[in-house]
Amino acid sequence: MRDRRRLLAFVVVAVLAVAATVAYLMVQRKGDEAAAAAAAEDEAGRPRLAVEDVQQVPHLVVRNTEPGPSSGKVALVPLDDPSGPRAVVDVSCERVAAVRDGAVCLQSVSGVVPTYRAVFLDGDFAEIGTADLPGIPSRARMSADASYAATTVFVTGHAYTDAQFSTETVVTDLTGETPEPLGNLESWTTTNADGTPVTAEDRNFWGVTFVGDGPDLYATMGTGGVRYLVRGDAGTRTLTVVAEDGACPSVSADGATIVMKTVDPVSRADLLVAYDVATGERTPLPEGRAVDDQVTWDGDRLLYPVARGLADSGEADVWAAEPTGDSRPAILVPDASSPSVVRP
Amino acid sequence: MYASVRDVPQAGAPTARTRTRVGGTVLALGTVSLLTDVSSEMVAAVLPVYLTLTLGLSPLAFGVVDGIYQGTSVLVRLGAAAAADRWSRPKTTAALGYGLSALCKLGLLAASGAAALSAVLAVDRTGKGLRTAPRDALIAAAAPAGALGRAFGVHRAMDTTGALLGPLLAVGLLLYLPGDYDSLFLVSAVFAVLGLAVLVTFVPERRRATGRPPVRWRQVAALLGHRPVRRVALTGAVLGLLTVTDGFLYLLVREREAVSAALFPLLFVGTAAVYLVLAVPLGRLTDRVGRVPVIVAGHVALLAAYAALLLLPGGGPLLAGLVVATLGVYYAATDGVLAALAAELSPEDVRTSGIALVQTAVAAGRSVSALLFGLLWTLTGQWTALAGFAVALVVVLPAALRALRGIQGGPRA
Repeated sequence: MRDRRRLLAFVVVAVLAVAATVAYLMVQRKGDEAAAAAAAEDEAGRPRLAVEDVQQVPHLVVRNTEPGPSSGKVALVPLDDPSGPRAVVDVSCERVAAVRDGAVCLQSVSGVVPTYRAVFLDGDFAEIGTADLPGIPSRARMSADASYAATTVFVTGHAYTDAQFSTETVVTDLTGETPEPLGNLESWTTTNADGTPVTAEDRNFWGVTFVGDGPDLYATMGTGGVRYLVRGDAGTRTLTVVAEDGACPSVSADGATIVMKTVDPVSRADLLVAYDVATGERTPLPEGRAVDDQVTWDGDRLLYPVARGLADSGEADVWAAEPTGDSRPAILVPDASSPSVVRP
Repeated sequence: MYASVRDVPQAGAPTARTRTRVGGTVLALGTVSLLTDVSSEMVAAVLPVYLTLTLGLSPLAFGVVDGIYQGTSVLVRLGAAAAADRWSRPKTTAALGYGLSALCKLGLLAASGAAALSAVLAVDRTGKGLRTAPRDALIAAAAPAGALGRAFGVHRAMDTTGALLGPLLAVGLLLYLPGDYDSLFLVSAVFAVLGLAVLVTFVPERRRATGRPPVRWRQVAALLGHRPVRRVALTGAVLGLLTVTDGFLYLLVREREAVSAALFPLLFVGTAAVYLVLAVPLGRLTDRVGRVPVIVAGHVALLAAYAALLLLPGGGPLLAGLVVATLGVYYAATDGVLAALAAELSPEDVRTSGIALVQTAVAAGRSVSALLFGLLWTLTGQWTALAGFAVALVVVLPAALRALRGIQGGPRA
């Protein structure tokens, strides 16, 4: 009898808890639908440009984060009116990098098991090849003449409390008929500045930036809790350590300056610095917020996305700053991330 | 409760009743684990994406703290088990563990920085450390005589069912409410609370008979000198040391190009499915033929996985299927079975500590194995490393069998 009462009490409580949760989820869904409808209406009211027109002028290729049906798609924004109307390409990406004659787009494909892939595009955003990715998109870059693409993903363990992550960075040769992967950077030969080989098992690579057309590149190597700036050659598949404490590099068009993240000695947070390749001198940049990307050079200024609003809203703006210590960053393109500068 | 340490087969043919029933408490504990695993695995399925794409955090930051709380988790597990025995409160200890994990699901709603999230994950891991051994002690206490293996099999099958359902539920929920991770964490917390409620409502605390003197710390400490428990713990540690972490084995499957990156996550699902199907039959088998032969056979299956990777010409689905299947057999033949063996070997008063000791020893062996395999991978290449582990396992397995055989027939204190 006592058991039966207990069972009854449990069933009542469980049913109430489940009913309350389901009701809450349905209300959330209603709210989502209303918000989506409003966003779609907003989007329908926005003026759009034609892709071909924007391609004629200097422009930015970004990931569009405006709320609405085209959120997450590639967008083109004229550089002379960066906060004005944009053109939208029907390709969805988590990260995108573009040059005049090509682009690389890292996509997530939803399913029972979410999967990820890299899509290689030509100058008109037509697909020329794809590659499966073993984890969550993190970084994408392309060499200036579209001959190489680099992709970084987070390879994740499957257990919830298993806080181990590692990265996989692959450089792909796009000069042939089909994209040819040049292997994970971990399989390349890495040497210290003094010529001794780096064999640490925990080494990880991410954040490639190409010097001009390639095959020269810079990247980050993490090992033993330290992030090194490494210089590499995709032709010989070799890497050499250049400097300690440098992550997510972005090299200027003339190859003289690299903007990268270093660890702030006081707060332990990431700090952006301009690194002079010739002298090794570092100039701190005024940006104090977290930048979850590599910066992009636009002539003498730097472009990068900064997340906006609540942490998990997924919204971001592209900001611009000078590579000097006294400039003030300003919003360049609202509702956008993953910027690349393209000049026809 | 356990008249003999020998795995005496039940006298006569089991009746239909004993064949199907494992007792309400075992089913209740299975339900607790099922609900809790739905809760934690639905979060596990989305956490990496949530962290990186939505929060924009660099997950590399998490690796640093990981090593620290792995160490504390071991101390927490042993300490909690000893306390559970000392005050005869395995249910209270387990409830504390499940409760902490439920709180952590709510904590995910509030935490948004790397430090806060690390703390939440650390507390969740502590909760898991607290609950595992007391829960297994409760299963052992509630299992009908002669059906211990089956009871653990049923529990592990229900546990794995939850682990398989969790990710499906997460995907369904995110289709219904795209990008709404807060709702997902809330649903996860509701499942965790329901699991805790089942434990509190339907699992009786195992009080000591009145008149028996309370358990002393000294009795708990004396477990280290208890020969059968010590021998199982040491053998388990050595076998754990030769167990290549499944993550490494799956990477080797990919290295052999037996499976595409897109299908890679299905390897984990496949292994869990095989485990789910085999947990009850293999558990029942241990009630008939004894725990030790099945544990050893499980390691032979593990050896078969190594051999398939090393020797099978060509890759393809056959290799992937073989590794998935043999790993499933390995888990079904060892995970619950080792807990059952530890439970019946330990003196009843300190059973939780005995189970915790054996589980900790195996976990410690596996941690060292992961370091060792990583090191050998770098120094000698992955295939030489795997061959080394395979040869070592071939050499050690007969010795392990002999060491455990002695225990099986050994005297009962």
